[in-house]
Amino acid sequence: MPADERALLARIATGDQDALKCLYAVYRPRLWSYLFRQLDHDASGTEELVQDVFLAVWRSAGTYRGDAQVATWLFRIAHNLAANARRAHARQVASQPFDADNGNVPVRGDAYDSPEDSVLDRLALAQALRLLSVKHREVLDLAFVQGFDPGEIAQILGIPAGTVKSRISYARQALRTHMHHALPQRGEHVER
Amino acid sequence: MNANDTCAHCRESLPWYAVGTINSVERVSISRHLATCADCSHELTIWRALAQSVQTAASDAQPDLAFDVSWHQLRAALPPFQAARAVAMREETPARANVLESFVGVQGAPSARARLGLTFAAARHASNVLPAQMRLLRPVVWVASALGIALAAMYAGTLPRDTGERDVLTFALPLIGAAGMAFIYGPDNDPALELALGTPTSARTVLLSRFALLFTYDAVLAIVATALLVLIRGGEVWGLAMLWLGPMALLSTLGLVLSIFVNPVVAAGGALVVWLSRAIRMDEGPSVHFTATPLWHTTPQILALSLALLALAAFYAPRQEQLARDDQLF
Repeated sequence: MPADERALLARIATGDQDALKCLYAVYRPRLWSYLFRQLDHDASGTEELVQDVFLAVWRSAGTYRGDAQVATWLFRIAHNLAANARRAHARQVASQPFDADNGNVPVRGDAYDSPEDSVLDRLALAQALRLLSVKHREVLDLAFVQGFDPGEIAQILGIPAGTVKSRISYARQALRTHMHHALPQRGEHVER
Repeated sequence: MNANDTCAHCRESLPWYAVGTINSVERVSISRHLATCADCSHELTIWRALAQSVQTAASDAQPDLAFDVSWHQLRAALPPFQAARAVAMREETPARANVLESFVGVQGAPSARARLGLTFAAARHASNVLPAQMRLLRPVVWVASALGIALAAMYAGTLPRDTGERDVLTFALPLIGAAGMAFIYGPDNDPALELALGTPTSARTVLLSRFALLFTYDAVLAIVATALLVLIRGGEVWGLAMLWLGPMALLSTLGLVLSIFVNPVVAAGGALVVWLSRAIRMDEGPSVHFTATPLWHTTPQILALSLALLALAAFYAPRQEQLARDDQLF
């Protein structure tokens, strides 16, 4: 309900805590889910960051003018705060998100024509997703879990919509590469 | 559009088609293409499986803390509404706030150690904000400024000696600075500004850091252009730079203020009119003849006026957001 959400923000801008609570109830689960993966499954850090998002909303609701959807606005704030948190902790998640040696991806490579086709093995892919860089994981998450279209994702990430479309394709390619690397480590072979 | 183009266009949108977050016009067009293209249909199958896997992997990510507990924590952390903006500024530089509390609060006046701490905190904050704002400025601003300065320098270099080659730089550089500044701030220039302002960085910091970045960039390039001209034609770099530096500061801040008060096009045009007004002479009929006058050199008055305009822009930027909100509410 975008119109209702905008009305909520207008009330928050006047200092209405009940309106903030309503918005928090609506968006906390989505933002928690998004930030949980952005922070590499750090639950306590995620809880803190979700609250930081709403502290930013409390402070900045007056600057919201309705050019973007409320959801897009909130995820943009969350995206920025997550990036700051990662930098602050010097975790370098983007470049080394996961130790491939410990990836332990149970890919049944012999069951499919190609590693890409093994995408059908949901359990394997769910774990392989953790091998992706934060950037690639994020675009998949925003498109498939949060349900944003390319234009909205572009606003959240601050990049052109064309880059969003190419990034999601690269994310898939990266996933395929991780599958390729994972298979020999498990002593399995890909049959084409 | 040939078949390959159609496939390429279709595949770009397939991830969103797979989860149904695509507009109806594109949906119809893609559905029609999928009915006749086996390759794209196969792609769709893969995207659907991938989307489903991503969704499944995300389904276990739920908050541990009960909503009421979490809300209680959040409400306890909310600053009082009236002071919300001030606290936002304080939280923006927590290190600065800590130093202030530990030194100013107890002793009344900052000690040398406190001042040093403040300097480090400010430097650390600037090192975070400036690179972020550099990425947010439109690339065309950087490219057009560099191109303009390069063209002015090349044109000046091709003129015969003592035929006004220095005047070319003196005339062009302030205008290039003003044109760039007209496009660094405001919703007309930055579609994501509203989102950027949702972060704890204040509108004033955003504006001033963007100004500092572009002005430094323009000034450095202009110094290089001046040095190159002096190298070819002789003269003194500092003396020539003094002819354009003050006017560049004045026209740049004028462009910035006009872009905030009116819009970027009026800002660039206004700066041009102001600058041309000193180049058009009517004494022997209308003609364009550019001569630098002491009034337009780098003088304390010009620099003071530039600073005043910058202060006006910085003062008005957050108010612009507030007024826009009031327009929306009422």
